[in-house]
Amino acid sequence: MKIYNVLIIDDHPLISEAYKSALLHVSSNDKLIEFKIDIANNCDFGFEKIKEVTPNKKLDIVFLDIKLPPSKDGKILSGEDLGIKINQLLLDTKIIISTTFNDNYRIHNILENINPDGFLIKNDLTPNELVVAIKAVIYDPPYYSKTVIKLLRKQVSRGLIIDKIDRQLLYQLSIGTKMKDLPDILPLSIAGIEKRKRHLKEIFEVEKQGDKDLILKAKEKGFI
Amino acid sequence: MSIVKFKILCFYLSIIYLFIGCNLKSTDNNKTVFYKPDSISIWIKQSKDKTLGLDDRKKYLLNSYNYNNKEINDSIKNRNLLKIAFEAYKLKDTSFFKKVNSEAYKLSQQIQDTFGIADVHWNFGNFFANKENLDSAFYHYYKANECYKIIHHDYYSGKMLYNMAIIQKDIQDYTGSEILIFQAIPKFKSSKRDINIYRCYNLLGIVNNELDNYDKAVYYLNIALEYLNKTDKRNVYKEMSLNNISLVYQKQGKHKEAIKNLDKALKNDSLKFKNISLYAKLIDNKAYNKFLDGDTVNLPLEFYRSLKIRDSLHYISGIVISKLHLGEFYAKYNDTLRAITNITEAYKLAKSVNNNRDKLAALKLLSKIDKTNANRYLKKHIALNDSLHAEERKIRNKFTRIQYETDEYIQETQQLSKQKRWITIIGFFIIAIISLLYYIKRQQSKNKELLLEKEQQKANEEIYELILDQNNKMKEGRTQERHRISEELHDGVLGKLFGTRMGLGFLNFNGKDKKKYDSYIDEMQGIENDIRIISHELKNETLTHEYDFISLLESLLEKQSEISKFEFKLICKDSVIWDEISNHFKINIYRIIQEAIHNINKYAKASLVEITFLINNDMLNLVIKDVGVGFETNKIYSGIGLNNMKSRVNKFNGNLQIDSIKNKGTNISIEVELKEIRKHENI
Repeated sequence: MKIYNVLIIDDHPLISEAYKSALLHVSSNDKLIEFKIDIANNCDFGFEKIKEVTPNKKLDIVFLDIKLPPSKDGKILSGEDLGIKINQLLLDTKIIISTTFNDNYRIHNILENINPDGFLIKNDLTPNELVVAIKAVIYDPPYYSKTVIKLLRKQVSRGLIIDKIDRQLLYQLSIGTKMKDLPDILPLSIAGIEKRKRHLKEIFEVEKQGDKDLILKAKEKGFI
Repeated sequence: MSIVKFKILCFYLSIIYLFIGCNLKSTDNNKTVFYKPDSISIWIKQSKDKTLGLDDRKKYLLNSYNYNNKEINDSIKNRNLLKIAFEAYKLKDTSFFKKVNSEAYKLSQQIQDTFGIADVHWNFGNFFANKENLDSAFYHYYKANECYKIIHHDYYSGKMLYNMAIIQKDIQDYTGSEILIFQAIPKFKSSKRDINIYRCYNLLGIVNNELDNYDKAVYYLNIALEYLNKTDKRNVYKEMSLNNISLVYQKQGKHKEAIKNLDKALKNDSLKFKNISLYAKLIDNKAYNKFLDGDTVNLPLEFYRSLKIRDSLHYISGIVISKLHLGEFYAKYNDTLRAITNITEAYKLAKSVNNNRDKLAALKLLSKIDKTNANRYLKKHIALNDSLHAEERKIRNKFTRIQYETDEYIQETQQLSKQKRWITIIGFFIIAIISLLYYIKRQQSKNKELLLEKEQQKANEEIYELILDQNNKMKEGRTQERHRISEELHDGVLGKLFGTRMGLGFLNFNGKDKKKYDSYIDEMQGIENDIRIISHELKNETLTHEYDFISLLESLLEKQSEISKFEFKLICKDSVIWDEISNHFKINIYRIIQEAIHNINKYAKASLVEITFLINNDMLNLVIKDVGVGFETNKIYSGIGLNNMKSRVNKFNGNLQIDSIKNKGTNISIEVELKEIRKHENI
């Protein structure tokens, strides 16, 4: 019998409760596993709990929501930031991302930055699946939700290479950021942005068409 | 050609006739040999024929005049008139002369023939000189001279001056005469008329003799002889000059010198035939000099010889002089009775020809000789002398006046022309300045206009920007709101729903409704998905942000379509990149569409309006199509609205075409080159 220390970081108590129920469900079915569950509902609390971890009091699994109220000092803005911290501080801790975001850009970023052991898209999730996911993370990580797997498959098959800035640009365009505001967000000048945009349009074969086409195409291809 | 030649011939003819006219003072011997081959000149020629009777000649002249009258008014007719007048003058037909000459004057003025006017004056001058009406003669010579001066005819001008000088001499204004001669001489010199120069110097000699400048007189008379030698017109001029020289010596009391010169003249044997009166004069003068010198040889026989010749010639002035000389002679040698008889006769004769000079001389002599009546004669002499002086002074004054008035007239004319010139110059400058000012003003107003237009354009763009701005702000607000809702749905509602679903899922619900329960849980997942999609769609609306212009048009169409309830379609091909198109053009397109929609609302009763933008061969095409009542294109084509549209399109060198079919609809098509409407890089 092994006791797993679990930290659930989610701002919705209902969700936290659900995870808790799931964990209890798993331990009730599997006598070898027991969970010691702790809950945090924002970044500050979450971070505090992480800092409390010692070799004696390890943290084995973290349920991490991406959309979280930011920390008061503004250093940790989302679950993504917190996940990076956990990766830095606690090498052995397994992270299960659970998010409502299902756009490719964010998923890609999370995969790249956190490389979680579990990646759950809340929309895909059913109680059964959650149970399967928890088991998989414990015994044979990783577990990715269907949406994530679909994306990975797309990326593997498409063979298009664009860098991080390109993704950022596409993302910003897709959420309607104005051209004039882009230089403040991206490390580029207006001319540079235009150049990249032209380049992206070439890559996505939407030359001489508007930004809308570019975004639709990028979305279709799974970049955002 | 022949007419020209003929005219030239006429011209020379007239010159020759006039030349004779001015030679009146000397001789009439130069016979013309030119004939004109028409009846006028034949008649004129016949009127000159001295073998014919005076009446016949007058008749011929009248014929020529009548014939000439039928000619058209030109210079040839004028020349003929002048010729006829001259002949009439020679024939002493006073009234006919006056009539013809006056007509010539009128005609000359009518055809502006300065030469003709001059000739008319010359004719009048001769006429009045002959009538001893010296002031009138002087006036006309003066006028003639003015005319000749205008046309730079030196020779005739000189002649007029000479004639005037003679008149001046005759009224004893010797200085005035001398001045005129000095004016005349250069003119003759420039026209190389030696015989006239001779005459001038001759007259100078005479005038200086009268002025008691004896040396000068002799000097000038000798120059005259030198000029005479240069000519081949010897005639009796030399003898006359010698006589004149002798008169100078006579006046000086150098009687021997005088006699020497007279002898020289008398050497010419042919003189008796050529000019018998001169011959008589020479004899008389020689005798007189001899008498004054106290030499009585052949005296008074010589006097009588001269008198006899003069008597036979009825040369009254000559007879008077002869008788005066005889009177003096007898007086000196104490034959008072004969002296008085002769002198009285001379006085009477002089009186009969009205020769005042001789009358005076006679009275003077009588007052010396006739002791008993001396007082009476002296008084008479003085009275006559005074009246003559008064008369002369009057005439002299008149001459001065003539000259002065003419000079004044000339001066006035000069002043006037000067004024005119100034007025012209000043006027020109004023006009130049005014036109310059006008030009500057115009340029300024043009610049202003341009500036205004620019400002207008700027204002238009600003308006557009404002409209756009407002639109954007509205959109932004809307977008923000959508975002908010989207986030709320996504993070809040969705999260809670998810939590709920999961929570429910882990409840151990094992009743008979387990299946139903599970399906509800699945349903909840479906709801979650729906909410997520809605949330996404709410966010994705923002993608339209770069079609601001189109959305602007859309909102315009939305509003306008409510007025007359038409359906609309706004089609914009993706190839139209509005970001690259200048705001100035956009606002104009906006206004054009506004105008078109306004028209559609007002007239078209359209059910459908279709607005299409597309790019074709670097041209932007805008088609505004409505399905409405349409109109007849040529009828309403000039409305203000349509003109405005046109002028807006013209700003970008575009084309506007309006087609309309009655009861089918209207099609407004605009075509503009892309390079005209691209955004200019703002620097």
